[in-house]
Amino acid sequence: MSASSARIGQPMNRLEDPKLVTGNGCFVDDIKLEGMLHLDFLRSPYAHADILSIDVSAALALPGVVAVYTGTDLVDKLGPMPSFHAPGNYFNTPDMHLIAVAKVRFVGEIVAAVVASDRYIARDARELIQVNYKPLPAVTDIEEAMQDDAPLVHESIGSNIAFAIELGDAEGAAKALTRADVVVKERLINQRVIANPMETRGVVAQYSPWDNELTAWISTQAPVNVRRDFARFLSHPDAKLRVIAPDIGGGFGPKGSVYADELMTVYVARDLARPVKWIEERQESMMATSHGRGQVYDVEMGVNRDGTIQGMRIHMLAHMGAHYGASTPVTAMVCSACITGSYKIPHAVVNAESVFTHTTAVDAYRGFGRSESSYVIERMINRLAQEIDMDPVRLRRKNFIQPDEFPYATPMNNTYDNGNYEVSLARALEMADYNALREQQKALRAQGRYVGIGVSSHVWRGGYRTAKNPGVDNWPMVGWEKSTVSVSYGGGVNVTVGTCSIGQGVLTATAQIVADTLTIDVSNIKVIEKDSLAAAHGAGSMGSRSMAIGGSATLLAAQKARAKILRLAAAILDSGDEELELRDGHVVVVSQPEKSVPLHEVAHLSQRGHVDQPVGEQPVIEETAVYELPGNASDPDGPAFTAAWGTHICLVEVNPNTGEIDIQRYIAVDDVGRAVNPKIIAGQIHGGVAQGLGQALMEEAIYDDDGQLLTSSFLDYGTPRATDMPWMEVDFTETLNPSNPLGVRPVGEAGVCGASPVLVNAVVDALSPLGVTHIDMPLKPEKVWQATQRAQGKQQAPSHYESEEFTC
Amino acid sequence: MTITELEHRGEPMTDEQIREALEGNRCRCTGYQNIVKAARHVIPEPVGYIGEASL
Repeated sequence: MSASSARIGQPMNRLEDPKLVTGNGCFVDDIKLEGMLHLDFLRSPYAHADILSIDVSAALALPGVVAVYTGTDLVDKLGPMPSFHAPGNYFNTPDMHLIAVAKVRFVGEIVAAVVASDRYIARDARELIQVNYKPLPAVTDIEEAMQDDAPLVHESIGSNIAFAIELGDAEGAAKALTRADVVVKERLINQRVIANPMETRGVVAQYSPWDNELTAWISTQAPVNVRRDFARFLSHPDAKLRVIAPDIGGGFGPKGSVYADELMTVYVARDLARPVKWIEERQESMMATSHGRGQVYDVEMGVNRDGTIQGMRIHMLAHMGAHYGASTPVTAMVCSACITGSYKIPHAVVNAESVFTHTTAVDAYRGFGRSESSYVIERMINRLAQEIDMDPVRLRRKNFIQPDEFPYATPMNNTYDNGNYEVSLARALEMADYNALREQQKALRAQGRYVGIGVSSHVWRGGYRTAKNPGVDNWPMVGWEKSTVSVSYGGGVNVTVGTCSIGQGVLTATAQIVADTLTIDVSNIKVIEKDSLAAAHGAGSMGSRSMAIGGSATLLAAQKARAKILRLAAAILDSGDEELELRDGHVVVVSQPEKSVPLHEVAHLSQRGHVDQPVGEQPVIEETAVYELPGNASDPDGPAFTAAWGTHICLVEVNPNTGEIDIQRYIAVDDVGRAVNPKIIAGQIHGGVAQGLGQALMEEAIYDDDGQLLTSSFLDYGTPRATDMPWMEVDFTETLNPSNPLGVRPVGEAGVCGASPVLVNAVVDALSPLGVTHIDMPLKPEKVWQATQRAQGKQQAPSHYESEEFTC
Repeated sequence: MTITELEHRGEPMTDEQIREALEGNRCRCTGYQNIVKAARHVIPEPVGYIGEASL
């Protein structure tokens, strides 16, 4: 590979890929240690029950079983699970034991842990444990959970309401709605989904009693956070605890939390002083790893006939599940904060109630909060457009926040620092040849075909700052990232960052930034990540922060290293005040380019002591930068998050007799700021769109009234296959972002923000001649067919979608 | 492995046929876009066929 290929902006192949595509990666389950034991968990089959007794004697008697743990064994040794905590009293925070003690609160909660010499014996032993349960009534529907007579998930809290917030201006919104020419009311469901990364969660833990050192390999997005949680929870000296995230087969958000099973594996390794492995099975994963979305919105939006939006009022309910993961209560906050989208909505109010139910915890899932908000606003814009018979693109343009109106304070007390929504919309319209599509639609409609065009002009944000005032309008998360660029004695370059490659390509993009700044090739750059021994500081990869925050830190560190290299080179070249420059890995005197020294020589000579160090300089080239956004969400000093936006357009044909949807074209134009690696960016868009379309078309985690998760395998929970996905036409616009030194915008979650609303918008558009105005996701064929029947006033057989069983 | 088998067969396939052949694989990351593109590198198009990658 030539030196010039590894630069910012180059679509170079990923450095991670050769080993991954040949099956030579090392995931947690590939790790095998001498004398390793296997851990398996007995999980509750009831959503809500008292545990009357547990008899583990038969399990213990099975040859090969080393230990069995129950909740009562641990209750004096370990405290409650680390959970989401925010300063102030906004949230009712439930305690949860590592292993259930007297009560279980969701199907999948751990009831016992079995340790054996191999995983098959552990499984057999698990089946021999006798648990005597007294089943209790369970509540899985949010609205039922809010009733006074609902069974309580946490008695100590006294209610199933985890918290309630109001953002915006209720009085202003009410007045605006009375003034508007037209008010549209709609109930939207954003159904519960399951992330289902291809690699489930897992841990291998090892303990050395001689030096009290604990090592854990774990499939996680945030090894530094995990290390802190492990150390605190286990009362283990943090300095003697090492957490390593090896190759990760997808994270998508749920792997940003710490779970009971992970903590248990590490505890057992220390307790038994034997290496221990636990790997989550798929069915286990579907009930034990946090879910996503799970919200219901009652929306009223007022618009005038000329298309100007007057106001919005939303009452929102959000599933928490039975307990909190790392970000559980935040989804409703973030969704509320972003709900006005790309538009100037002068008056708006959101009342959000987050509710406990006897279900798996709902936590961060790709897009979290912003995919939900994009869905609501982009669906409603189309709903309004249909109501006033205005082209949905025209309605969007009429209400866009204009570039010269930034910084723009929304009614949600959030300030957007910059944006140019038109530039991506215009490019998407051009790629789609939108006017021609509308003409084609007219012609095909005249032939009795149902063709629809969906549009979404979503705005979202990533790369958050550490919230100065954590509360309802600020996400209490660590927002800085640290990067160190160093040059070794032999001239090799190391970059140490706190972000994580979880399959998205961060490692390659990071190397490109350094290669670009130092004008060298990636072949002599090593990116160090995901091992707390080497990269002890950072906040991992989530919320689309890796380039905006991590990449910016890397750029600044590399720039500092470059400056140091030039200072040392000036001494080596004895070039006085002459201007120096790095070119192709050499420091050259600009006015006399034959006078030069290669980078590796600068490092070597400097550390060897062969350089007359300038006063105050030291021989090692190692520079660190800690970067964070300058502002605060609700004050105008500067941005507290990194803005992103895009427009997706989708062409579908719907068969109203079968409800089947054929996606004929899918166009995605997102603004990425500076593109560090266009190939990686396209990959992120592809994957995000796939998950967004998955939710729109087929994904749904369904609980019955007893709290049984009916969709706990891939037989019942559909994710898109190759035949479900359209060919995606992806382009991006590059409006450089002034809020970070790289100029980048978040990218990873763009796809899920655009895809679900655009698909629903397209299908509703297709069926609008029949009078269809909305269909809730997932748009399964029966549901689409039912909607066409209802819209035409036709009687239809009762649908299971209307029964009590399938609720949100 | 499916793509390897299809490459050995050497028969031309449309994009839809390639996608159908890949139905046995589940991917959560790529949306299958580059997988189909990679298959297209080693599987010939039918004569006169204009595939989705030309869009």
